[in-house]
Amino acid sequence: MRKALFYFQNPSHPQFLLPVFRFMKKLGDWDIAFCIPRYDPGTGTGFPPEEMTKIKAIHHQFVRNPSEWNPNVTIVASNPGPGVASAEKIVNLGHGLISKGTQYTSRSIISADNLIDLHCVPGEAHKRKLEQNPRFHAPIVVTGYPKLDPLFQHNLAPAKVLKERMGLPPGLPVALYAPSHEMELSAIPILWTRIRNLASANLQLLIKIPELASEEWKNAHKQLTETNPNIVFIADPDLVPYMQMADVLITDTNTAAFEFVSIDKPVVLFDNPNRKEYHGFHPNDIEYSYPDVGIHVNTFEQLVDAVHRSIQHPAEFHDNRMRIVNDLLSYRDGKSTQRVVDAICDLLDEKYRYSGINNDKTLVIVNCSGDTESILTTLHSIARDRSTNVQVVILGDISASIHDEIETKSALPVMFANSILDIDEESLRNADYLARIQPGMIAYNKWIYRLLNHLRTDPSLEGIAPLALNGAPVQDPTQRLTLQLPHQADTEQVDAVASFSFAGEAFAALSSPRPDVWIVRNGAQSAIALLDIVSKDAPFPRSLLHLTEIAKDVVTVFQPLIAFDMASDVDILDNSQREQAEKRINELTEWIGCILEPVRNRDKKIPAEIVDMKPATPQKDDPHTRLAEHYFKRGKLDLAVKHVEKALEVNPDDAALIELARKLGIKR
Amino acid sequence: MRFLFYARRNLHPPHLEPIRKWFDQHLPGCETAYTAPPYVPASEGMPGIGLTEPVIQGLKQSGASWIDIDKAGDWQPDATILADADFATIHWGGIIVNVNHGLICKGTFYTNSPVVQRENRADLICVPGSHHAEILSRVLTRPVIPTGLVKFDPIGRGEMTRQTERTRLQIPDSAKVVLFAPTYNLDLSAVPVIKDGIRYLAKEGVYVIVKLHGMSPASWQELYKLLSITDEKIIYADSNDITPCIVASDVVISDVSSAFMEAAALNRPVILVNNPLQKQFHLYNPRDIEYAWRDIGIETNSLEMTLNTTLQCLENPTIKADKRREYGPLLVGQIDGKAAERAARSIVHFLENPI
Repeated sequence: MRKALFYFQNPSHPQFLLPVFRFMKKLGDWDIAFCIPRYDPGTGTGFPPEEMTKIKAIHHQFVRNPSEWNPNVTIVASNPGPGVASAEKIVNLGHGLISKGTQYTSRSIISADNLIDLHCVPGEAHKRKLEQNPRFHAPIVVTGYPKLDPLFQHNLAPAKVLKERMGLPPGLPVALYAPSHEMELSAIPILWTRIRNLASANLQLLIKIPELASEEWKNAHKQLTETNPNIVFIADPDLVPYMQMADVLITDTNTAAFEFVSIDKPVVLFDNPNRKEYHGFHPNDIEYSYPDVGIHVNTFEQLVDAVHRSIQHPAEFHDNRMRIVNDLLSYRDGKSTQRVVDAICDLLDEKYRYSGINNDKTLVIVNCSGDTESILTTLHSIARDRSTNVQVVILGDISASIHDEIETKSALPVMFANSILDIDEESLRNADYLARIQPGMIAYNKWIYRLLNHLRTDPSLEGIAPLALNGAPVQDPTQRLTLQLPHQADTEQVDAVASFSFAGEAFAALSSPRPDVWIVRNGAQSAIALLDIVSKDAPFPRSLLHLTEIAKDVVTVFQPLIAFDMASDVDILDNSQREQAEKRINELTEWIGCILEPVRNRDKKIPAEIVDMKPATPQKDDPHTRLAEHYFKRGKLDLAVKHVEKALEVNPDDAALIELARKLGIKR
Repeated sequence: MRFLFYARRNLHPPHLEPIRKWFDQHLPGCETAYTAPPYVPASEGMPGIGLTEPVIQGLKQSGASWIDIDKAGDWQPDATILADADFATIHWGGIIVNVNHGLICKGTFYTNSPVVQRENRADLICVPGSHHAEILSRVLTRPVIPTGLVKFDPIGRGEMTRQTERTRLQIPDSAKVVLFAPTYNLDLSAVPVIKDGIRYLAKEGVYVIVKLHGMSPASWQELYKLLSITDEKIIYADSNDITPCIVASDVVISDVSSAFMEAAALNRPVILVNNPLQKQFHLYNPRDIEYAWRDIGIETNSLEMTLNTTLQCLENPTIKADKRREYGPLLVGQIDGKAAERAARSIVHFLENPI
């Protein structure tokens, strides 16, 4: 029985992977397990306890260490993280129809996807985007979009029935509000809870806040249900049934927009004015390539008008929707899940292969600084990488017994050299690439081949380095993050960088400290640096050590010398104390002086120019409503009446206000 | 009316307390109180949250009432007044007013960046100067009112003067005083450039006050504390408010800190040390005030240049006075002792006419 592992990186992934899981389970010839990384709210990986409970109710077999379970195939919904990067075969189903700068994009970040063995994409548009990116090499197959299969199979209950089940009035139109979680893209920071004013006796509002949104956003919207009976907060991660019952979708830069378009229903698109500031913004990405599928708005008043217009004229954008749907969802027959499973089987039957193998020669240098077992482990790892023409040099002065042991037990032939100068000159000259790996490192499957592909496809690069090997980061991640991020980086920034840094990082020259595993183009400046480093047996350049110290200084509490911490109350120092103080001042001055050097090497991070904005239009929503409720609760009825009357002038159809007016005896 | 003052950090009460006092003194029948989140000291590079006990006691001694955060909702304030965008914990009713606490942007305040949109959660936003109001009015949907810098009110009323502050700091009236007020960011601060060199300014007749930002690394704090114990003319100020130090000084050395704006508005010559990594700061934006308005002072790039420029400014304090006069009012509004009153009246007016 073949073994399939489903890897859920975060709570937004089940909606994309579970249809395939259910299909495989039904087939009965798969041994299936789930894997979820440790919950880390800081980086957005893993599941919080309540989501964990939900996923555990779906399947019983969970695997903590995927390599021990040894699946035939690992199925993911984004580029594979360190936990599964070394898996034998990896299939990526993606997580949505749009890019958001991380998938189906022409940006270099897509190189992280090269760790996979097959990419199943929803439509020809996605395939085209990936094929146009010279940094992407994995096989691609258009399968359709399993998530929407229930809608196209027509086996989902009709809207009327679903409404009944939820206790919604059958005749009332339904608006589904499904914003994004990113600050720069989401409608939430602009509309905030004013969206509640859309709900009325004439319109039912369903609110779905994404799993990855902050608790603050979720809680604020959950509370809206208490203020208005026509608001329902959706906790269910599966949006499909709600799409079935909704008449109009309100969203922003969100995959839900195109999902809704594919079932030919109207969408209202809220344009966050800061979307160009989003770290993943790219004007050529899919989400910006089809702007004419719905009504774009950027104020609450426009949104209200657009929602009512969409409900009254649902066919207004029908032609535009139909024009793009085949490109985005190439199959709408409800059989996408089956196609994905077929593709997985084809992969296991070796139908799909990486392309572009050639005979470039790589000289891998392994410093003999570890114990024999570490060296053998590393050699074994290199031996698994059979797709490349590799020659290995063990560099260092070793005893005859170790020499013999390595030679006997090594899984591949090796050369020995006391120093760089002792390496066979012809081998050095003939190598197209030079690689270095620390003893003890176990590379992920085909690591040399995959890294080489990056170099082959981008001639501007001198070198390439993986950021994670076999589940363990090559370096302490904080070092990497400190390089790429300022020390005040917020959670979102850290999450963004951490998510993108799993597979490969290119460096153009010697501008940044080098990781401990890397491949460089022979003859480039970086190659000289590599030889320099290995010949000195220095695992890290000095600048990196400085950086580590800075990171410590920033993230941990500096421990002052107790004597001088207490000395602030001392008026007069004796000679010995003064001498000690001066010594400490010199130490601290030197310490602080070191700070600038390594940080100076960081890449410049000047954000894009600020986009000029038009003066904001005041929102229709006003604090009268809140004050009316507030004074009513406090029993200050005269003030409550005053504010209700004002509020009703602005929002005459607001059900909560009408009810409050009734309680206050206001005749309308 | 009930006004709740929510102070998330020790640096907030100086911006809130004058408003609270105005309400108590001029609005008969109104009730005011403070609240704050539970105190968590700074650690792991993160700033602390909540007020320290001495600050809470100080507020109580000034006549402020105190309400525990978990009782704040029961108290049902008509308005909750903050000095930063701390909206997350405010789940109770009434309006929210943010009176802010600084003059510069750092990519987060008074600029056009995504994070600024969070300010929309306030019903009313009070800012110090017309320049800040103009920026925020363009990027936010909520009303923005320039009130002046609240913590300058004691200066406007003549209660805080050069003499009062020098007496408090035990500095002779005849002495020249240099204030060194760097920010805390590694790539913005003057500290990596100046290091211990600030000591060379302290000599006969010249005092140096060092006022670090509250979030400065402990190594920096230790260095300048040590300097202050090796030289009596170097004073390490560890109060929460920098304004008294500026008032006591003749010249201010800073970098991109809000301090240089305050100092210029109080007509002190400012020397602006450029950290070589300034443009690599992740939120660097040349259009933000702290970069675009650097002609209000004299920019320097090295210790030597900073020391020489400081001595020049001590000799000739009129250097750049024209720019200070031009920019000052735009930054802090009128210094007439009535900023708190303007903020308080705006809040009352807004409660009565919320649009």
